[in-house]
Amino acid sequence: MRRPSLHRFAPTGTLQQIVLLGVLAVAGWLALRLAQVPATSTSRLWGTVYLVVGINSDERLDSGPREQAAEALERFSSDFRKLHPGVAVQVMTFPEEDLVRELRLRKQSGLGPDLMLVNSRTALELQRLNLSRIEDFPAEKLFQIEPDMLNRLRLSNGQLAALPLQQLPQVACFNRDRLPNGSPDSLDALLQLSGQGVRIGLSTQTLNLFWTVGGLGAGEALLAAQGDQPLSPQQVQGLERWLAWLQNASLQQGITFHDKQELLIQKLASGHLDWISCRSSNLNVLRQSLGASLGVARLPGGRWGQATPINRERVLAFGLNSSPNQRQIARELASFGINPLVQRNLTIRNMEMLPVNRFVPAPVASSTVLAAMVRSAEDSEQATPVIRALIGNEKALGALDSIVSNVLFTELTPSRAAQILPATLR
Amino acid sequence: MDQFLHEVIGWLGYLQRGSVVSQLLLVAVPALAATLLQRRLPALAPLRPWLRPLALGTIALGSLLLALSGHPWRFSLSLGMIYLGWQALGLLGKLLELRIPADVIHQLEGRLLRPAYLLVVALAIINQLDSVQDLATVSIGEWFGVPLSLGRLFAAIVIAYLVIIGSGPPARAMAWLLQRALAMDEGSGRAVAVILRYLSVGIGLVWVANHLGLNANAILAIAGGLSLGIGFGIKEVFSNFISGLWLLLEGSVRPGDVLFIDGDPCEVRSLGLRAAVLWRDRDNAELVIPNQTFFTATTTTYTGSDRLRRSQVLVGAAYRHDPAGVVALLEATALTVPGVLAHPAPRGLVLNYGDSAIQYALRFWIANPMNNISTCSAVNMAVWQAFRGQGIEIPFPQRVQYSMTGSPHQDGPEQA
Repeated sequence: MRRPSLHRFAPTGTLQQIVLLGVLAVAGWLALRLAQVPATSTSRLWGTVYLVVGINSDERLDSGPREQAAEALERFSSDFRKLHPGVAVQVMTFPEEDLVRELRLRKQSGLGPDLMLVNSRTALELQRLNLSRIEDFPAEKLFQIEPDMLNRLRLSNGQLAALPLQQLPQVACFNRDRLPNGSPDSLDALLQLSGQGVRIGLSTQTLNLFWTVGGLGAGEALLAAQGDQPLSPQQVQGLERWLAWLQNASLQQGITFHDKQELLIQKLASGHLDWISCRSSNLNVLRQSLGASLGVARLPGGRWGQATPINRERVLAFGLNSSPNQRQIARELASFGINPLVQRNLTIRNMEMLPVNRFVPAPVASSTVLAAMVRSAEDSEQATPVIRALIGNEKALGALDSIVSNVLFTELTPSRAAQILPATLR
Repeated sequence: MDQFLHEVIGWLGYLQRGSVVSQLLLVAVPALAATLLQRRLPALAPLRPWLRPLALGTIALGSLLLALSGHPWRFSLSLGMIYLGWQALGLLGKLLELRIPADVIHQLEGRLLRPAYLLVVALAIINQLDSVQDLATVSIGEWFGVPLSLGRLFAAIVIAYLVIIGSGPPARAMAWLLQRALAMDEGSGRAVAVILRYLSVGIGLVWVANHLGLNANAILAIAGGLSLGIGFGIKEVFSNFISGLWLLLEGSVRPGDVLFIDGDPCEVRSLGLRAAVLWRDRDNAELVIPNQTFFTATTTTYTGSDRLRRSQVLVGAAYRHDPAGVVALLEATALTVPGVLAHPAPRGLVLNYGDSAIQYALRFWIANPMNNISTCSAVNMAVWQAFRGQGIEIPFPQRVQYSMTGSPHQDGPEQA
């Protein structure tokens, strides 16, 4: 009976308009970009590059990942754009653990990034999976970078998987109001502090807990076990000592273990913990919450050596889908990142990273935070051989995680765990 | 907002890549060619149904060739799938039309399915060019002191749209259940559906305001602004809205009711925010009447307490027929007509003694007020047949005309 007026979508009717709009958008974009380039600019670089930033789980805190990435990027790309005003840098962020999946899809679409700011471990993985390309740099440029850092990024054929940009040391973060005498300088002192009511937070992840290995003399044992070598009685004792300390710590009322590093950061920021091991990239977030009460120190060692923290190295890897022009911009941008002046600015601006350029000393005299970071970075060199062996071996790392968890939950005694650990790592 | 525009403009940078441009061309050229050929070349009419499948096949084949040759292919395939999905939506609509009324399908398609599809597609494309999660965090300024991100605003708009558009069917279902459970009549059931819908829209909009982080002060400020707006500009709109709600609650005008508008019975089809839509049977017209009209003017309804209508036909019978017999015949005749209710029983009345006939009225009841004209017509025909059968004459005035031959002053006896 009633005949409503029928209105239907007419997609094809608007197709030409969409195409026209597209053409206009491209023309507008070109006009806009041309307008941004000063007439006096002598730069031959012109275009847009896409930079993907991998965000680690402990960095996904209060501020949005884009803001963090934009901050990280701003540190050197703004200076780069002063030299090359025709260049625009588009930033995208993804969780570091999702990068491989995301980049694989983008590679198949031709929409992959030109540059990727990721952990060195991820950069090696990307190269192994053929998701990044090799870019050669002149020897004089590479000469400026810490050789160990470069070696960690070298492939079997000697080429570099990526170019280092910054290092983020692992340090001790604490609340000065609760620890007026500063951070403890030994693992034993840390246990004692927990007995005095100081609330300490530790991670259950072996990589974040690895700093305790050095002070208890278990590093050599782990290296030997990883290398399929028989362990000496002293090395077994070292392993047992390390695992016993972890179990002892887990039984302390004042020490809590969390499987997620970001929880430790949040709890220190909110005043629920007094001392944690943290990453220098967390310092900004902690400063916002704790202000002047935030203390930063080197991680405590022990009678058997200094702490063995693991530095996080942030590197620039190169994408596969770039046009020749984008490749050139990406290369120039990465090269610009290790420029001494840029490295110094990166270090000083936020006090949350160390330079990778060995000719750029961190101003430790004027900053206790930077001093702590530098000492942690030095300490981490001890851990390098073990970590290199472990990081390349996901199976061994998983096995180590499992054993450590069992020890923490007292499912395994330290002596039993020390006996089975070498076989498991092999 | 600048940041958002910067991001959007930045997507065009992908056009620097030959692999992206080639994939775009691979999709655009066949799709455009199919469209243009379909419109501009009538000679190709027999091929018309095959043009789009041909375009889709070309896109799929091109993507396959790109993949086999080691070039990026996923973007063109994604765009092709989007094109295919859009065409499939049209087919889905046609299939659903076999089972569901066409107007319902078109509403569903135009208001929900196609917008939802476009939204999903837009997000999927953006996620290929950029990161949707990143874009969601882009700040687009402050609103009443509350920082507003693109993601929040987008979610608020989508949810508000879904609440407004999508709340109808669930509200109707809930009203149907209530109608069954509480033994309400159909009009009340429809009223409950509309009230439930307004309620869910209201709650949804409050949720959206809360999601946006608007504090009480901001809401008060908006309310203050609205008050001014209502006072000056949108008084009528607001008045109609309140009138509509009031009418629903009062139950005087509800969807399904039959009202007498300008001498015609009209059925209320819907009671909207601003106006009621009524259907007039006489000419199949839809009347859009502001709610305020019912609120301020007298309304004649046939469906206030029940849906019965008392109808009446008038007929004259010659003086020689016994009125009692005529009345009995009229009453009996009415009962034979479909649509005339036996209870209350039809009633014949002698109205008056006219110039050429005794005037009778036959009053009877019908169940559907909208059928008045057709039932009256049927009763009139039955009366004619019955009178004819019983030899009852329906007299009518007869006029005899003749031509005058002389002056009325000469011939007229009255002059004497």
